[in-house]
Amino acid sequence: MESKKQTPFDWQLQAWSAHASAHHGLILASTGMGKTKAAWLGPLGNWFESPLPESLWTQRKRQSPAPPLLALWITPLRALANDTCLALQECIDGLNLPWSLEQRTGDTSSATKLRQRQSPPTAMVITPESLTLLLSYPESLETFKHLRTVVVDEWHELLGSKRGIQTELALARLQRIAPNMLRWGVSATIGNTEHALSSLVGPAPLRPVSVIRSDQRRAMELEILLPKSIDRFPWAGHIGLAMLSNVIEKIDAANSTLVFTNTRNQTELWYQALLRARPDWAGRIAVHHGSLAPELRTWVEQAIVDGKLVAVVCTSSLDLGVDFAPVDQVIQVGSPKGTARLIQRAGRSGHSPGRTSKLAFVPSHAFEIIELQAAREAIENQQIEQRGTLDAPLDCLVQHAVTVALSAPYSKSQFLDEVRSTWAYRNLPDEHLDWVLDFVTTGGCLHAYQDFHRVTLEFGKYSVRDVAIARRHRMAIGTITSDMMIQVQYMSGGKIGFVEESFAAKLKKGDKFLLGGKLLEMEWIREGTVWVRKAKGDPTAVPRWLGGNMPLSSELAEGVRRLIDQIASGQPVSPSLESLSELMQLQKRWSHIPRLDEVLVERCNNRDGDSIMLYAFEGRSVSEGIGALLAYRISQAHRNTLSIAVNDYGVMLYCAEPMNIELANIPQYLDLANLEVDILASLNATELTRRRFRDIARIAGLIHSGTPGKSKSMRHLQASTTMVFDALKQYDAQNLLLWQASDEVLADQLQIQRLKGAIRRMQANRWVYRLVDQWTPFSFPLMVERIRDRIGNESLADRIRKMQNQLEKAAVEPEAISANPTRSKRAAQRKLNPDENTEA
Amino acid sequence: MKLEHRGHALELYASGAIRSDTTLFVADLHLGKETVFQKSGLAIPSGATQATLQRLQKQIHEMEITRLVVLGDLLHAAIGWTESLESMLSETMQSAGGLRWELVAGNHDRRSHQQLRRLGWIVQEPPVIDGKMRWLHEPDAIDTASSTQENRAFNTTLCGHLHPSYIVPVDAKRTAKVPCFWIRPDSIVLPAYGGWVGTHAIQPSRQDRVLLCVEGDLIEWKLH
Repeated sequence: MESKKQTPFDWQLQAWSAHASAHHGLILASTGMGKTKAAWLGPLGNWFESPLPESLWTQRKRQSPAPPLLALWITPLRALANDTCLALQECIDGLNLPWSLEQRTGDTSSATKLRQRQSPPTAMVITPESLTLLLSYPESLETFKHLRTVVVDEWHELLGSKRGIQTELALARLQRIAPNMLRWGVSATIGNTEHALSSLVGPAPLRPVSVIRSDQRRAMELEILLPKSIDRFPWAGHIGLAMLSNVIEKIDAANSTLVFTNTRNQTELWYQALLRARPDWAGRIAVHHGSLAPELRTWVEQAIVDGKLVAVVCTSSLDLGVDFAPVDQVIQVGSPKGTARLIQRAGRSGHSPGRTSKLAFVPSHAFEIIELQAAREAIENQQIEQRGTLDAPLDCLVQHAVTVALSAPYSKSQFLDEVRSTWAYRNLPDEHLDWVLDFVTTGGCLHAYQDFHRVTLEFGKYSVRDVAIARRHRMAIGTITSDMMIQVQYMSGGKIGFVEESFAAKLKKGDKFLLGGKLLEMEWIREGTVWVRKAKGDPTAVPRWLGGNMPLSSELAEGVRRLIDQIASGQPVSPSLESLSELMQLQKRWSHIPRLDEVLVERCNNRDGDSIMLYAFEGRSVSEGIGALLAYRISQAHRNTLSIAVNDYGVMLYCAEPMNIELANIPQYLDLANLEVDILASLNATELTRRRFRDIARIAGLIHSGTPGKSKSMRHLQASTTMVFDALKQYDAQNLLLWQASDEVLADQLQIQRLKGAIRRMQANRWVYRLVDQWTPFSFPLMVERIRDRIGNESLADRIRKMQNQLEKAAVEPEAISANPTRSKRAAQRKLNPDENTEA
Repeated sequence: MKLEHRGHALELYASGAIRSDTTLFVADLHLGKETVFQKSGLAIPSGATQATLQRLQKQIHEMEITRLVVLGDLLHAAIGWTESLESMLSETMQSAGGLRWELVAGNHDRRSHQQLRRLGWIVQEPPVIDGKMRWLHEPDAIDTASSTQENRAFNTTLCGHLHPSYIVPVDAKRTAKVPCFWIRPDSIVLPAYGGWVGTHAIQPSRQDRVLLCVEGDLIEWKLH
């Protein structure tokens, strides 16, 4: 086998020797660099140092005995489990070890799961959810007794999420059962390595800690596919299908290509477009996204591995996953929104040491060229995004308190020790712990929960007595929560995938929509399934899936601001930015290009209405915060009815009548005092909190998520999370889970810290105000966002083309415009000192 | 709100009740629902049951009626029957004085008939025919077969079970589910009277009427 002939890299040797010296460790390497071997040969090597006597081995049916469970390999994706098992098994076989290796995920049959609990294998590949479930059984104390090493793969994927918290808690639990256990993590390069390390090993590890970095950098070729002429008036959501022929050329030249898009809809559209342009590719291209039936996805993945496909159009569903050796090129359509994500995706091609990964970028609108250039520079300077952190979420702790009580009775001090040994809960206040334990035993608010019981407290020990409660809890373990999805199935039986319930509810008989690369006609909805048949013609409905609007990362946003500054200053720019020069010239001529220390505000007051645009260049979530805050505070003072439109670059406030405000007052409206209060008031916070509470209620076990088929007898236990939220608000308003929900809204959804930082930066900057007569290259995409909500997809495209043409005319005939007396007067105004308010 | 329905003079209330002469109709109280959740390990605070009973008590006091008819699902489930529920319910009954308490049994009341009878309830299995009116818990397919009903004893049906609500737009982007009376040509579906029950969005047809229960008011929603 080829890999066996390789001499190990220095950093791999470092990892093995650190493991041999009983260090915890974190391995930082990009995919395809041999990090699996780096992490795995440590635990295997340990066997030669200290094998276990055969008397301790596990007896197995029809197989020779094997050592008891010594190593766990935690993988965030169950789709990865198969592939990982093969790679790990190869090492075991290569060293001729008597180890047995098995996987345990949600897909494992219940018979196998039961057998694994009775006689566990020597090594197990497992997901965080399956691990927690295993830890909930009383025999887990026995199962994990000999455990020597836990490896957490793709740690960066879990970091900063509730799954990561769940993993931290599981590690703490395992460490208690097997005190000498070593913790190893494998992660892609991220901005905050420190945090990745401490959340892996905890705040006070009892052993030395090693960080191993692969010194090689993956060779990466980044290329931007530029159109022959750039739209002077870019608009977000323009999916760049104009670049179809270039993309086809690229695909043709490569062996096998992954085409990444940012939304599931774009995936379907690109697939259709490719197929229409190249009918000969039928059967050799495929589509892959998270809403497709698992069988279809597995089929596509296998076909890539087997080299049967020339191209797969996909979303982040293929960001991670099995090695796709045949893939030698990645095409990214639209902004990757972050540097780490771009590297991750590029790394899906040329997936082995020494090979080059290739990524071609297809901008979906002109500004994305700047984004890619910023990402390119960030990669060169090794500036990768930080992963967010989560602050001691109580819902996860509530779940954990019940899980641990299922396995063995525990005392409060024992639980506290264990929980505080995790990074996430290292500073957990006593009163929060008390509340969590009260909440699972008495409900936490005495008069309100008289008949409640879940965990029993007896003689200072917490345990679960009720078998039905135990069973229900085990069914609900985990923190992955999904929106209500509804299955799509052929009348003849085959399953295609899922659409959101709200989309399904709007479908009428005969509606046609794309899913899984097929045009489907809706027949009827019955038994919670959308029944369809194949259709011909064009789609009449577009499925909506949530999660299409990821904000630009703050690191990348900063890069964009720098590049715009560079353009504004007239310094020479990289060739890819040259292609934007015409567009930028126009922005400069009609308005202004902000320097790094400037904030640009534009106002366009014409017969369509009054629009104010503020460009923060801070990513979509900050734009949303600024927009909500401005609109709220302005309408408090002036009783205007404002509508808001946002994108990654800025925000537009629009009013059909002239707004009675001075542009120069805008900075005052962004005062940081009372920010949280106003922003919550402005955003209909109850609604946001209620929505946020959905996940919290599920994780904390406040609702019974019935399993299909079994649910009938449980029907009297069904309540929507909305109802639970309302009941708590009304009868237990001090419930800490409600506070958690509103904290999460502020921190995660509104990214309040990022918003504050942005406002602080802008307050310190120089504000530049411009009155404009027509939409500028900066404002045009915002205007499109604003009208998008009001008109259907088809007519929107027509209307935008019309407006683009008008503006195009204005752009090429500057003389004609200045000949117009009113316009030249405005033009004269524009030349005023930028610091002055240009309003009359 | 007064409503003339197939010759019956009815008074509809935003609380979800209907009065016909001296009889008050309500449906789907789901008393003890929080207890059922609590006993199953789900931490839902109590309070809704008491609030529902207080609301009912107040409404009974405000009008002169001689009988209360619950169109099913007075209780949520048998395991929700506790001493405290029993005392709250009998307190409500005592304070209302000499009323006749009738239950048209619903699917959720199934295993609680004995307890209710002990408290003085008259529990009957649907359908109950009373004059030209029929009472049910679960609506049946009556409206689809209305032409064949000419020779029946009753000409309309009151029922519950559905917890009807109607989805109305709040603003350009949001909608709200509002509990409502669903008035069909020969039946009326009452909204759930209980304070902590879900609702089910109905899809009325052209000849139906929808009366929304909004913050103490009844508003007719014009169907196009």
